[in-house]
Amino acid sequence: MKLSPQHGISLKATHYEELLQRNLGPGWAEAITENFLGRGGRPLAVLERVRRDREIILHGVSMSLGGPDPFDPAYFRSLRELRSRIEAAFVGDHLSFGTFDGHFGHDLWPLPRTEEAVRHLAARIRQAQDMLEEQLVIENVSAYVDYAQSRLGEAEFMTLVLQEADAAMLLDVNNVFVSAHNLGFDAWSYIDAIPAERVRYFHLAGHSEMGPLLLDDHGSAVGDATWELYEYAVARIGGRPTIVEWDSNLPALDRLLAESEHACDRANRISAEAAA
Amino acid sequence: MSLRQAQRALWRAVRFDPTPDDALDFFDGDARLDASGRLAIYRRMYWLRQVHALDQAFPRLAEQLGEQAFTRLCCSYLRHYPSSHHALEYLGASLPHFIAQRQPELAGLCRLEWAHTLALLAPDAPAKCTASEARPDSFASARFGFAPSLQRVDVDAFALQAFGAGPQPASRPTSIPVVVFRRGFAVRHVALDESEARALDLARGGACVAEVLEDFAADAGGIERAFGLLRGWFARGYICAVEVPGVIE
Repeated sequence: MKLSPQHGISLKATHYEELLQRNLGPGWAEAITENFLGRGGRPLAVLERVRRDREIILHGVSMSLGGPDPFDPAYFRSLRELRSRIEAAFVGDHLSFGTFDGHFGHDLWPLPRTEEAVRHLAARIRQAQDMLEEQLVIENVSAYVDYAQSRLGEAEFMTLVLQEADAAMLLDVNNVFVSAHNLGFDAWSYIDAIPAERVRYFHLAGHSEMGPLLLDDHGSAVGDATWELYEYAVARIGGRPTIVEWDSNLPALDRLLAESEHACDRANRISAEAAA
Repeated sequence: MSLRQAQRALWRAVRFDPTPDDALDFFDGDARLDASGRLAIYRRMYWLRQVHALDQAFPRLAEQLGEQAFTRLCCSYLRHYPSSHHALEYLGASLPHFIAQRQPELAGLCRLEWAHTLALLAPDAPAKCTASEARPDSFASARFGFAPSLQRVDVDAFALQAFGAGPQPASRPTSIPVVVFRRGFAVRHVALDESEARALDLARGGACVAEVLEDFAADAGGIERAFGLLRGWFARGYICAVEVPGVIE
């Protein structure tokens, strides 16, 4: 599979009717795994229609890779079925936890950046990869709070987990920017430290200000500072497929597609400059 | 402090307001915002996201209660029933039971809305109906397989009215059998009379055709009506398989 700087969008229910009707052309599309797992009806029809034109990425939010509870084998059976059915290009989830004592928080909570957490995450990711017989693509999350016991740097923590688990990475540029602002680390240094060869694709999204912090709300166009960091990441890591996420204040599908094409144009320009 | 202790602290921080002091000790803030203020972001997202999900699943119930009362109901429900499914859409699974104990007058509407959600989320029925493979002389012993989206609930007239079914005659019984089903991408429901509800419940419970239709045999015109029912079940996609003894599908 060629990992060139092609554009992509995330699939949203608001756009389902339109997605059923039109040809999106080549590129990528990302589906939130849990919105399609075990489903029929319109969601599955949309996924199969989009798959005719585009590569599909299954991006989970509930695997709880850092969670304390055992994995649910039924979840992984369903995921394997869905992945086979649509021949997903990548399957992934987040460097976070979202469950506790059998309950789901439906959020992506950060973990303390400790050696114990690295070992725990790496073991769980390896277990998940064994069940799926596939390398997982792990995304860095936005964070609003840090643990007193965190000892490792953000990039160091991610890198150690990726290496110990032999996993791939989804680099969410907006999340790097937001977390860097909120926790007080340098976003550019984070990009420098990430193992480029493990990055499979990028995420971009908008964020908003919430008091002194930034909120990763996916509710607006990609901001100038995030574009700047994205261009830096492309120059450092190389061109990769890029998915533009937009969840709240969702615009028309054409606006979303235009935003993702803009990302592609920027990446192509940076790649060309690097080649020259 | 172990990883599990840290995770438990975050779980308690999002579930309880304010964050318990012993949980707060696990986190750092800075001069811009202390740990308590930062954890409040996660807590707000936890409750807002889940109340919103319940609002999406129960829009008519929310309308009946009004925003504040519905939010109070949801928060009370979530304190008793934290999510136990990986998909947020299944969050309301126990709300019909929960509301039946507190506001029984709304339980029927809650059941009907939840049945709609389950019908919407269900996997597709197998594409092939095997009815044509059944030999006529074995039909009486055949059993039906039903579409995964098919739901059977008993509701009250108020629930049907809330779905825009119009005013119900005063003589309508307080418990009305309803079937909820998905055709194409749309979910619909139909109120059943007692005989069809009994037949459908028997068939879904695994009874064979002869047992399902037995009640109709004694009535004048019963046979015609029984086969009319079956034709309707096929036409509306309730039935997705006919399992005949000796026929391997």
